[in-house]
Amino acid sequence: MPAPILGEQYASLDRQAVTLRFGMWLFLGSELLLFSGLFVLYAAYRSMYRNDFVDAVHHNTMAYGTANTYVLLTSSFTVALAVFNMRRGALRAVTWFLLASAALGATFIVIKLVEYGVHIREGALPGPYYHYAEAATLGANRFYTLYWVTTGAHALHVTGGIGVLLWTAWHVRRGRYTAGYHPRFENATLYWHFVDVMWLFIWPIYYLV
Amino acid sequence: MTHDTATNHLSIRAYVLTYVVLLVLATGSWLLAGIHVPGAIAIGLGIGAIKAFLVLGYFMHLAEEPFSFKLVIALSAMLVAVFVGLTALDPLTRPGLPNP
Repeated sequence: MPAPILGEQYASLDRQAVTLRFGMWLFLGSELLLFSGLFVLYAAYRSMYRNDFVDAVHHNTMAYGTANTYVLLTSSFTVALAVFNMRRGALRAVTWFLLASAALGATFIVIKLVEYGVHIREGALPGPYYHYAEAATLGANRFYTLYWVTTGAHALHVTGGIGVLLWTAWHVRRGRYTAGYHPRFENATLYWHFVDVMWLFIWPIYYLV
Repeated sequence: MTHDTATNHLSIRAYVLTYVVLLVLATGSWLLAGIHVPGAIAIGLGIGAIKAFLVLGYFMHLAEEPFSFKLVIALSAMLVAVFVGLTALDPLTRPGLPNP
């Protein structure tokens, strides 16, 4: 197992680890800006087309969105368990929990694709392609346009997150991290949790109320 | 939440408890969606914020991090709330909306 490399600008590995984690939190803060733009658009259009948005939410596929909420919450739990096991040096368990989390992420994507198939058949498509007969209003068109952009951006993040989890599991298996020093491993898990947190706000506004 | 006193890290019990509370809150959100109550979106987002707080604090270990870490996220969340709130207020306070 290679010893961790200490950058010359750091006084200790602990300081280096804190800096790496802080950099990750700043990155997550900037990622939040991307989604906040979409939330701002949602707030504006919902204020303008309140009744149409409420109708569109009721036409949306709540079962798929709700199932995906439980899938992502469970994946966050398994990722947290991976960190717990990393801290106690149980590297074999870490690998399995990361793989389980990636599998749950893949489940999320499969459910999302099935749901997109339903929307395509119904004609609930973005912008000029919208022809959903059950909600034929301008507000519903705006709702589904934002829905596709927001959930599409989120699904891309989930897909990227699956890649990050698999890459991290591979490196855990190769012994690149130790119980005492694993900031890059923790940063990978932070990214996955961030994807979960974004969904916790997407789910109520597009599926519930 | 309980901490492992030897390492000052969260215990397995804390992770399980957080997960159970998250599931209960998610189920609560889902059940509330079936009841038409005024301010449902505020309630839904409020429950979402509690869930996010739990994930950030315990699954992402923000509770264990220094104040500067917490400040980054608190400021980001506050600014998003200001952007969303002000943007929603603008169309609400203008006359002649298409579907008020």
